[in-house]
Amino acid sequence: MKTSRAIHCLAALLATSSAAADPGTVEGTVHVTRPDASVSPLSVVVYVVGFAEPPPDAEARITQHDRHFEPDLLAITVGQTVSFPNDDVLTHNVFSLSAAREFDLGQYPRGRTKTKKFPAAGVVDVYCNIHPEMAATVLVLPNRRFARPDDTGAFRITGVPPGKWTLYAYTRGATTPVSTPIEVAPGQVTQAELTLVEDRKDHSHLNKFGEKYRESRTYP
Amino acid sequence: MPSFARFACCAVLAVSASAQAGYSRFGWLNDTDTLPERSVELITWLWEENGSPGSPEQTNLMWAPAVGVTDRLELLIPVQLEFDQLDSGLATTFDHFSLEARYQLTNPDRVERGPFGAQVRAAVGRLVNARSLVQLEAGAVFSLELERVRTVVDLQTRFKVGGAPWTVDLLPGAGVSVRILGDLRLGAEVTSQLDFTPGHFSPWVAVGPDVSWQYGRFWVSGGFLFGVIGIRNAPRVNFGVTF
Repeated sequence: MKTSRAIHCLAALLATSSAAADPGTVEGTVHVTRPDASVSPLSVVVYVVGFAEPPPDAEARITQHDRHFEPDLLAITVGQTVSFPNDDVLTHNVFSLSAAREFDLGQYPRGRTKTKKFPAAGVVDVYCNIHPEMAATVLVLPNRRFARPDDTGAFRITGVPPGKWTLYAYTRGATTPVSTPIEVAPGQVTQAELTLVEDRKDHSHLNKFGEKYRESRTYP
Repeated sequence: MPSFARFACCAVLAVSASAQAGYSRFGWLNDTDTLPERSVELITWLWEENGSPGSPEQTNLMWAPAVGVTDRLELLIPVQLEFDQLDSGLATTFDHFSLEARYQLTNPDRVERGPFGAQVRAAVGRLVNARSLVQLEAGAVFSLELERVRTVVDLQTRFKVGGAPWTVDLLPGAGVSVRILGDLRLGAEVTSQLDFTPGHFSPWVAVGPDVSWQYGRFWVSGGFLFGVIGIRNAPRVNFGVTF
């Protein structure tokens, strides 16, 4: 599962080309289904792969609050910095063992913020070493052409350079992203439709030492 | 020596998972990593100095809890015991205890700091059997990591001041460590102890292979150094457990 996620991001890195002027727009709908029910598409990121862009100056942000990361899925551009403020009443230890970006922020209490830069594309799973229920994913993309759909699944990505690219949709509930090839013409709108299946059943993970969390421990 | 050989063989056979911790990849040399904030590590150092002038067969055991005060600053409280094999028998000495600070000058994040790392350290110690003296330590460590190869230069000094005679030891060393498989590393290092006790100069220099391995919250490193000047051999093993 992780291999396929890594491969699509590696492909994104390799398949770079120069972006031309007079960009186009990609819009459409993404549907998210689960074997037993339909799912809100608000948890999806839709992104275009095939060219590189510099990151924005602004920091992205994942907040620790009520023993959760908010948001639990964050799309950023290669080279961008993410801040991890602790707004919880508890101390947390944010870390990642993902090959795309391994880090350990140590333990820090409410009111403190630590930051990390993400210089390589990839899928970075972020956890708390104290609270196993805390999980988030940072999607480090080669460009800024990504969007979150609305509650109907409709999305719109502007500023896409003309060319033949690949459109992806990803959610933490899916084992792999889905994709479709697109061709963007100068100043034109390209339509696309994607269907994601939330088939990821196992969300368990190990702590920063590569061990299972101790189930007997309780926290206030 | 056989126990060190077994340790080395076991380490070579093992494969590890990865984790972050403030550990050394060398036997005798300090490294530039520090613990993440609020992490705690219990470290043990065990080394021998065999055939050195003044203390022909000596074994040292040192423990220290270490705590990451910030991501750059680490505090340790080392306690050292010394065992000397003398003609009259084995002499056991509670040598000293100290308070030590290690500060990482470069970004603790390996990705953000690039290949160079630097750390300074300082310690003040109480010599249990020489209460008129205070042991002061200061040093700097520099590392360069390119792909699998990590090079470290370790420059340490140790003073015993407050009474007569004062002594100054310089402890320069350098080493290269290569990541072989996972977190298993093999390398070589040279270390020395240049003793400037007034009226008494007894330097020693040793060189040899080292090995290190990290597995989850546990790490171990060690080296078997052969004397070049003033010592027969100087084996050493260090290990730590992070909490």
